[in-house]
Amino acid sequence: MSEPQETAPPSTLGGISPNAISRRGLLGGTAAAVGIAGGAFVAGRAVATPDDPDTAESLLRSYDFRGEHQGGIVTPAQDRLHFVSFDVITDSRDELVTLLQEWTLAAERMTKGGSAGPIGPVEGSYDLPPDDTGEAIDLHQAGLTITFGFGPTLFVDADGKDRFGLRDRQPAALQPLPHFPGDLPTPSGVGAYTGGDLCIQACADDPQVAVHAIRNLARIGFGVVAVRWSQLGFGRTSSTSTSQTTPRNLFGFKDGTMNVKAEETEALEEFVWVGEGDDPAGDWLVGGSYLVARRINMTIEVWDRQPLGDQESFIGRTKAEGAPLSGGTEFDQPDFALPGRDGPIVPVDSHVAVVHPEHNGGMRMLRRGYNFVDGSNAIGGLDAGLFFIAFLRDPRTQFIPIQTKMAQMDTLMEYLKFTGSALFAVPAGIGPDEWVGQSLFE
Amino acid sequence: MKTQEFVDLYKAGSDDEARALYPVARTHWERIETVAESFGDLDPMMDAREADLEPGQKWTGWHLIEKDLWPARAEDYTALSPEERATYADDLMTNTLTLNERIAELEFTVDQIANGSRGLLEEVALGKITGEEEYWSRTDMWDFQANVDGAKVGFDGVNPILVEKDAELSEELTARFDELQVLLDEQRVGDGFRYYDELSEEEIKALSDAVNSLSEPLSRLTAAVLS
Repeated sequence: MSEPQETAPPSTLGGISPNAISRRGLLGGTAAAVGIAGGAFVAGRAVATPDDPDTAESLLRSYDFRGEHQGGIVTPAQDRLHFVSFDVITDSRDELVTLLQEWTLAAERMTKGGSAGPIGPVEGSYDLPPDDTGEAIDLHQAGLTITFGFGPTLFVDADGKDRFGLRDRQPAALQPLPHFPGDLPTPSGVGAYTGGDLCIQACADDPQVAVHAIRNLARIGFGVVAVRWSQLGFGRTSSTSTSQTTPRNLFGFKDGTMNVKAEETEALEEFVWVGEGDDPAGDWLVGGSYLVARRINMTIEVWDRQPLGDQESFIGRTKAEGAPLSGGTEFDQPDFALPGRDGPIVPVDSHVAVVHPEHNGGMRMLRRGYNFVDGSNAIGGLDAGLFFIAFLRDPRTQFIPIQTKMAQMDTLMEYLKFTGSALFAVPAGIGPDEWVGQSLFE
Repeated sequence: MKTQEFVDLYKAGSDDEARALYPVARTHWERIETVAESFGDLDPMMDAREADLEPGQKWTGWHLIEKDLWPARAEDYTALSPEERATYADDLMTNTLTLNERIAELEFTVDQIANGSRGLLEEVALGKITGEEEYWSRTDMWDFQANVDGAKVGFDGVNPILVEKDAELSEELTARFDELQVLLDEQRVGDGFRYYDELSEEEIKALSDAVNSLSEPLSRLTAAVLS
């Protein structure tokens, strides 16, 4: 088999070094034999052909699960997302810890392109359900990253009860996000894309690999956690590395040009990673980050009827290139003072003017969102938009004020409906023999 | 026998009494649902739902009578005549007696019992927790309890073996059965249960979570008792 020899470009990212192991190779036995019989590139769902080097490269890439930081943050944004939020339904701290340990091993196996359980999808007893669900047989690692986070309600519930003896470790910044103007009233319970005790973000360049990861982790969790909500995403809407082009959201515009990139080591320290002494209760979170998730529906059909000039005024950038309306190219800074016919040429209520770091005390964030289309709604419109994900050092200074301002001023709000909202604390990465959440629970 | 009592009330036009007895009489079917369904000829005649019918298939059995007793959700429904009622009621009774005779002759192996226990929880997950089983009467919670009762009987039957082979799994399953029963007991009203449409989304989700919590380890029961 030649494909396991393919290696991704070396990464400079701390703790995340790509390696390339074939899921087929790991499965051994039957699968490997098929690979040899079929030649270098056997038929499979994720066909990596020599004619399509880009596909081959992204599907063969893999990232170590263990490292200084969790994967899925500064990892170059993959193309597909499955994000899930869980309620913890046990009262037992021991059961929860055991689950986190099981999840750690399963996640590590899957990011290597292996199966969820230690046995495998077709290698076990005929009298038992397999410990892997099997839909990833023959699929490559596809750059899978699995990122775990802890929500505010894991620490203290709505009645103020200290659920697992973690009250003293709840960082002050880890509180349920407030209701912002423009947020749809949150329906309680089922169907609401809001809140959760735990989250897992799975990103990959093959959607089935991401779904396989979440499906199997949810299955392992039955009895201890229950799925609260989950979201699929496609078409990364942010670039997290300077090697990536800025992608487009469903409005058709480039979005997140000012994102903190993986290569900006100092900016990561300042805006993404929680630092020593940020919060005495949050020592366990040092080297981690906060994950803000917001499900933002776009009123697609109404947007599509806006004249091009208006669309550009709402965003403050050109649709073609993403350049500021004040001129230049995408990465040139907007000149907010440059006069136009009615006031500044970049309108003061345009999206870029409202959220630009220059107008927000220099605050930046690492955005890592995805487009979503969940079919159509009851009146025939696309149930579509942006599943916004941002990693930041402190939501109180980097997100809440900017979202509040956006809700008040941004002309884009006319075309947005916020249908979900959640905040999680994402601890740092783990070393050998450590498990996810160990810093919090021990 | 409750089924006899039920069909007599239905035939006599005592609809209020028949409605009160319907979910209770159904309990006997639901406790052994996986066994009853193994008789491929009787199951469609006795337990077919209208939505499951193939073109040309004649509808008989419990759910046809259910619809006749609770036509509120039906459009343009024409009530059955007393003669039609008698035909369908007698047919259900005849099939019930046939089923009883066949079941009396059955003997089960350990793995069949363990699989039956798992199967009854699947019935809950597929039809009861979704409110599909009793579409007209909304009496799904009675069926839910009966399925769980049947599953528990099966589990209790093989548990002495399980304790020897895998004490941890035995403990886990016992605890999960208990947790599910606590939630079901919260839905009790008098001798019966609340109707499905009276449950909140949160209550249904909590019941579903408890079913998942039980069903996942229950899927390992057969292999454990056979090991």
